[in-house]
Amino acid sequence: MNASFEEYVVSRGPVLIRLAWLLTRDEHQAQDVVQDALAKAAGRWPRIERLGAPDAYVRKMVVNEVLSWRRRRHAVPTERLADLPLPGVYGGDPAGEHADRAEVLALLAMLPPQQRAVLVLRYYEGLDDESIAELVGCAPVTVRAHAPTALARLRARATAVKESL
Amino acid sequence: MITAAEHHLVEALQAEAHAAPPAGDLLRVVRARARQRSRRRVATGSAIAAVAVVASGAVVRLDRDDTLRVPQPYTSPEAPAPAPASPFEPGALPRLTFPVTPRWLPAGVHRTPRVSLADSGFEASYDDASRPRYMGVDIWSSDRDVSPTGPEAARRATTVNGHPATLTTFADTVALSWQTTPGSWRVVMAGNSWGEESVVRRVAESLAEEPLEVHVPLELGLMPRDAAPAQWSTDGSVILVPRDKHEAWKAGDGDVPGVVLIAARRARADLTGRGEEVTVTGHRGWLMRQGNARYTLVLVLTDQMCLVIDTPAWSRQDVLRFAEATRYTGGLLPQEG
Repeated sequence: MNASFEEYVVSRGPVLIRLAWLLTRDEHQAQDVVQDALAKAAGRWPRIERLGAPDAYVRKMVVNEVLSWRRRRHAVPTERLADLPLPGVYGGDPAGEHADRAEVLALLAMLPPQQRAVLVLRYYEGLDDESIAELVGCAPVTVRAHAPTALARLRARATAVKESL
Repeated sequence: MITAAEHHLVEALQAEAHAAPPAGDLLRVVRARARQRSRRRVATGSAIAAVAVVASGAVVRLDRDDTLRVPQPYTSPEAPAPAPASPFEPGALPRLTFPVTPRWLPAGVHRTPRVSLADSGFEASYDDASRPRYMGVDIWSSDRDVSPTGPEAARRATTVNGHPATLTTFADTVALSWQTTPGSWRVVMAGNSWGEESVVRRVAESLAEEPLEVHVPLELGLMPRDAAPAQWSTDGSVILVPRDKHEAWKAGDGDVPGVVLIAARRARADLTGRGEEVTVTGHRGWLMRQGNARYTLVLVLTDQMCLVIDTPAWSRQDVLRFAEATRYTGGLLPQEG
């Protein structure tokens, strides 16, 4: 296996897993997606390096994996349930400010996958619309349409939570 | 300028990123999976299995025909008579079916599928019989074409039983998709050692438009009033939604009221110190009130399995009565993911 590829896996692997985790909220799926993307990249690493932006290329592979057939492969009814904040089962914490965070994440998980990816890439990765569009495989105008819709849902939910406390 | 909601989202994502699973020995796993990929096209099925075990780092040999039964089955009491204003009524899950039946399946996959109804439609998974949750043949009935997408998906036109169809190849997965009537899609997808056009074509051509009865291993003595399953899985989960809210649920509105979720999970639950500790039908559990007034009840079935019941803002007593009338009848589920 190519030495520079191995260096890349060691240095960027944890970062890719964090991204996949935020996109899937599923520990096993996040690991599987990243492992699969890197295994695919291994066989074509010299060509990926020649393209000049290997990290962007692999990150796109990870996002594609999450948004394409693999996501549907796991699309069982528990996909929404799994993302509910269940402390002790799924690692959340219902107390205080953490409950708000869990609510935000639960709502995020209930968004359609592409909208979820747009928000994660914009607000966690800090990417601009053009970069997000490239990663998600849609037009920048679609990104700009997704983000306000998803944020509106978040705002509505956050307000409802505060009023109930 | 960043709004409060955006700021909240940034904070939540950054905090949640710290809860990401560890990378572990990622390099070793990637090496193994890369070897697996390069060998897959020429390897025998058993060789693939050996590599897959190395790659996953664990030997998991449980499947649905080799399940560990829950050692302490529910001693479900008779369903209590609901109070007049109760949010539920005596009832049971309706008969559930998958819309089509395959008359032919390749050797090596389970004869009994895992079946689910989810956002993308009905899916029947005939998994690798020797490895749990390892893709064999999947059959979909959906209102959309769910075959693989993305820049690596190669598509070409063909026919299935006279219907115009698309053959899609994506890595080691092959899919055949067509419409029986406008908006009614059938998709047959095969992967791993079954990822061949000849396999998906033969399965596709054998599909009979006859419902296949399926069994969800949940027994309900009480049903939420005027609700019906909107999503379910033979893995032991069901989402009950008021009949007049099914369209809103399907549209993905996160605030649909009256939704009840029940799911058996392969998970270890210990919520000591959080929520109210309760005992339901002999099972230890915890009842938690969510910020939106919904209740979540987690019952420990075994040290590897729990049952999660998530209800609307019912009374505490109603939640417990509903749980007492609910029973998981399946076994140990495979590892999730």
